[in-house]
Amino acid sequence: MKKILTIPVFAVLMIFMMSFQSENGDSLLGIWEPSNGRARVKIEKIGNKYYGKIVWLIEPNDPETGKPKTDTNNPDESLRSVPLKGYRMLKDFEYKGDNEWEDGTIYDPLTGNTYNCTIKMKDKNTLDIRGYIGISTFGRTDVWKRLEMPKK
Amino acid sequence: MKHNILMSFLAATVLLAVGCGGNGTSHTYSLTAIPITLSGPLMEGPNTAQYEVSIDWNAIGPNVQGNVKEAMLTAATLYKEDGTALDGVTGVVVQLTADDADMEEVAVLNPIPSGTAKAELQMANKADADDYFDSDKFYIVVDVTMAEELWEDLPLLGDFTFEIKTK
Repeated sequence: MKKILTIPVFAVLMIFMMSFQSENGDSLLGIWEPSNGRARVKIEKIGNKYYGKIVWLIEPNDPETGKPKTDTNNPDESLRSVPLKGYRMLKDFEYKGDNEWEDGTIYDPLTGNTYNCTIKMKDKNTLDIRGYIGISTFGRTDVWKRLEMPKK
Repeated sequence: MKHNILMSFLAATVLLAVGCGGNGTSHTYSLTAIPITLSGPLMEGPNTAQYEVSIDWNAIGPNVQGNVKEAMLTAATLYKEDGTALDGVTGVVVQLTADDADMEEVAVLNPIPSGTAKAELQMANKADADDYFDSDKFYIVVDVTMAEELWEDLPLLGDFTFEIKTK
């Protein structure tokens, strides 16, 4: 009898926990790969906002110098020695509900430009990342896929 | 005699202007030996530690809270408690952020020369911290680049100095 009661209670608890995780925005946490497959980005939470840093690059070293790439296109010259691997290219996203994160920015290390950005989670393994200037109508969307860590 | 009085008056005026920074007063806010602990296992490459700063307004000075006109990070140093070299750490980037303010990179040292025990970071041209003193807390986010994996915690200490001017 006890067992019969325990299973439904456990199931309800699990559903509650899963919905809470989704509602507070933490479903965004994890490692994601942009469509070009040239980088991987780890999304973390600091305070009540979400940030994504580059943790893997297909080409980590500068082919000319053989040294790890740095943020050579940063508009602030004093920050051009910041390593690209580790760079926080997604910043300051706030969860707005309905699987959307807004008010953030995305940085393009190839140009040194920063764009406004919104994130929409289409399913638990797929993100629409939309960068834009001004209003989101004029922008570009890239699809990122979640990378699952291999289970031991 | 008149000349001496005039010179004294001018000197006092200059000292007052420097001390008050023009319109308001200048203050130094130092955070010393704050724990910057990277929780292992650490992977080769970038790893992050963060420290939540609860601003001690009393330590900064009277009538500063709510009157900050300018704030700037002017010095940042990272080191181990035992004073040994930061072996295995190849680069450090410091960012500031707050719940109501955007993140900014404010200091960097990359690469860290071999044998360095105290990493004195270079300040960004725009190491402004005004927005972070609008509320009572902000975060110091430290990205540490590791040369190789480390299967344990890496406890570091940090000294950070902010120069603050009031309205």
